[in-house]
Amino acid sequence: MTRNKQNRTGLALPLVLTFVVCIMVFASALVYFRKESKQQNLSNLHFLQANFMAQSAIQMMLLKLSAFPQEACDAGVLSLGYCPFRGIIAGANLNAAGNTGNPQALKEFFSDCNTTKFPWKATSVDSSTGKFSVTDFKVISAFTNPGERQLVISAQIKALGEATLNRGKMETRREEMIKTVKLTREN
Amino acid sequence: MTDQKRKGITLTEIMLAVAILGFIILPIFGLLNYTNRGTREQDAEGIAANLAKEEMNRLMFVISRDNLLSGAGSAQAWSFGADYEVKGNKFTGEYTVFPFNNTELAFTIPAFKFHDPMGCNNGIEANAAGALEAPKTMTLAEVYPDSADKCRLADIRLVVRWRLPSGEYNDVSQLQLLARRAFLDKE
Repeated sequence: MTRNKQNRTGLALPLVLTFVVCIMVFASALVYFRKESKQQNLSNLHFLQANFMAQSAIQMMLLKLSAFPQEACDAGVLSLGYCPFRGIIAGANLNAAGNTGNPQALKEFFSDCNTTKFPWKATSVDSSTGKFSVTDFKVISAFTNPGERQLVISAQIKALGEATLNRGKMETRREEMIKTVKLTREN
Repeated sequence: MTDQKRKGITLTEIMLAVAILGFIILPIFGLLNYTNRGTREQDAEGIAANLAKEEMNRLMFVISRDNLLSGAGSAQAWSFGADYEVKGNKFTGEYTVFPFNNTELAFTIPAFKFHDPMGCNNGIEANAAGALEAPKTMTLAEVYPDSADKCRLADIRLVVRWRLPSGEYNDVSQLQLLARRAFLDKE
């Protein structure tokens, strides 16, 4: 009996301390997961904005392609090494012999599809909030349809969107987007 | 006598234990309350981001040009209506459209030096490196003279606000999305 009592002495304090440690671990976990969740939310929002930035770049490029389809096709043909005034003769390889293509015209074509050349019209918004640009435009296939005397070009637009949130101390988020388009030109 | 002494020590221990519990548990309850509210706020923020994405997708790819541009320059209510409720939280949103004028949309386009295409054997450009002149600039108003006043590019700014059942709308619980939309006509 005396032995049992001896065993019981000093039990309350260790028990409480153990309980307190458990509670503190639980509380720390709560705070940690809350921070993680908050970070995840901010990350989602960041992605969303950067993604819409990249989509905006694609939209500008599509507008330019619809306004200047002839120039786009000619630039694509020259980038493959063919004469823009003749197009690609049916049955020819994608790249001209010797691969003498000049991509300069394509670069000039997409060079101004960005927020540097056309800044945001929205008030109280500037490039520190978000910006976009078309970073590449290249021909991936081209052929002449002799029956319809039509040059058909498939090209890829590569766009980059960047977003910066003014909270959460997050770095600028960058999202890249690629869109393939088909261009046609009557020969 | 020895037993009495032992009981005294246990009482001190219990008092100490209660004091420790009091000091630790009370702030823990406060923390629980704080994290609980935080979780609800995180939840609301996540829902707001999803609603913003849906609304921006509608503005970018679904709504017609005329509907989007009606009331351009001033804030318009979003499609979910005021005080849209999800899980007891309230959401409200508005968007503003900032159209570009076609005369200010001056694009850079590559210019090709004209030469006799028959000099390019099999369509292969004989002088690819020297095929270009200095790039030119052309506005969309010049490309589409008959519909120069028709808007072809616009910035969209969407602001979504949210509040918990017990709170009010404020400047902190809000997010903003930006995008640029092109109107592509077949002309």
